[in-house]
Amino acid sequence: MNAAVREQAFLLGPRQSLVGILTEPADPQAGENRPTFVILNAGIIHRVGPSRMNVLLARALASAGHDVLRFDLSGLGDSEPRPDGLAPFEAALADVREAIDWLETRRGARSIVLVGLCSGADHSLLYGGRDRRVRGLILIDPSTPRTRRYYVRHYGPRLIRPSVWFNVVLGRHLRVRRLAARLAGRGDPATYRPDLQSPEVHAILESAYRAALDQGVRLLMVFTSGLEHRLNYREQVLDAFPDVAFGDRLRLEYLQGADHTFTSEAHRSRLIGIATEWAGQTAFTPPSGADS
Amino acid sequence: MRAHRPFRHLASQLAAAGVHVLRFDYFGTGDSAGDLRDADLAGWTQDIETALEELKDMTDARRVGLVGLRLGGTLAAAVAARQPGGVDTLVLWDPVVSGEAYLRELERDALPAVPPAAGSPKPCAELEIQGFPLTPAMALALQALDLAASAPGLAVPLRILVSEGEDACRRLRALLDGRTSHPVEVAHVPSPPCWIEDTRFHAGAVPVEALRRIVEWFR
Repeated sequence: MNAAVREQAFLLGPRQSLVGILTEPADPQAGENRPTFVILNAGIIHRVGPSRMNVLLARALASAGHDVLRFDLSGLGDSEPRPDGLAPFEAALADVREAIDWLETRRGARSIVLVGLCSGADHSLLYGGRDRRVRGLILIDPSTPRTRRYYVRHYGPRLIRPSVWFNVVLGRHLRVRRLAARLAGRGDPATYRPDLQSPEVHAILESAYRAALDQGVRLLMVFTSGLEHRLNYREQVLDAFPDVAFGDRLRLEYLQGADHTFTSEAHRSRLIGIATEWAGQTAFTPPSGADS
Repeated sequence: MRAHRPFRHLASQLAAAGVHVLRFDYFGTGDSAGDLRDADLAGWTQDIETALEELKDMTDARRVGLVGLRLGGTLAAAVAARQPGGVDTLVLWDPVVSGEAYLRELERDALPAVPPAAGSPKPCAELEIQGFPLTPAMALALQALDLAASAPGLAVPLRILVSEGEDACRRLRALLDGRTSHPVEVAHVPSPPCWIEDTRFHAGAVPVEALRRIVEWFR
């Protein structure tokens, strides 16, 4: 750890069942009046994040004067499962609320920025509009529906490639094999995910963006080229949600060459640089009114 | 990192069996302080000794055991060798037997941008392995590891846990046969190696049989 930050482990929540690490500037006054960052799990990876990304991001943000909490959702990492039987998604949102309550009660945190990659981004987005204490969101590869332009970019080059047609005719193409498996009743359980193209999911995501923006949340969205089967250009999120007025409250980044979990140190450093810069330059407005 | 979940479950099961457990991350890894570039094997060995002292201090335990996975097993054996009588149970879980072979495994995972120097017996440039830096100094230190040479001198019974498809430990057993003053027990468990993750079908899988065997050894 560098000398500019200090770290401590805590047990959070009403049952003290959530394990979190608080990283803060060594000079306690450095973090005054700045939002506290909360980094969520990416998938089932524990709180250190893929390739230790969350640790490095927390230390970079703390070096820049922010308090940062990274904690394990219930049932992940070192945190205990919840005893209330909530479904995984609702449990995750309840955990986030408990962690923010803890930060407010124990640390006096009034403004929160949620940070998440993949499922962590989805949890951040869907929670953000439900709690007025959330003033910012850093969403890294959040779920984004495909658009017309996505399909043109994805299939355009393939349609003129002879080898693709060759494989389709021979039944070796992945889509043909998937279709055959489905017709034969052999669905692939590993591919079960919410259908991002469904109107229901689209409406939920659109509503979440609107709710967050309505309460003045500032957004940093970073997409990688590592999920080409879901997203393949920088502005896809804008095209997917044309009725959401992101305006100047959104900073949008697309990291060409980066994989979904930022395995390369260079891409990880780039992400941390962007996040730290955004945190320093953004004017987060204080929460207005009571927690909704 | 991928072994965090199995180790968390192991700790819970050992605690349920009445055994105090301390898990920790080496300097420059996981939640612990530091940058991996500044880490070295001597420091990590010292980290294990610090953890042993902390555990004894917190629990008043009179007997202590070490469970080490892969490189952790090899380093645990090094600590047991440095502290005759200081470690009562030593569990090596798919330990790194040959540093040379381990280094070759790591080099195969190096990012394409920085391929290992072909034919070079000693790496001379920093590599990036699955997103983590492997410095030339660390590579040299890893290369020098030889569990088959150091294990016979251990004054502690050896328990070696072998996952499916791990051949290195078979060779270790053959090399140790008749050369140790203490018994060597080798258990083969029908669990895939828990540090290699099949993200499509087994993400987060816990090697139940491996954990059960380790808990049995500590009862």
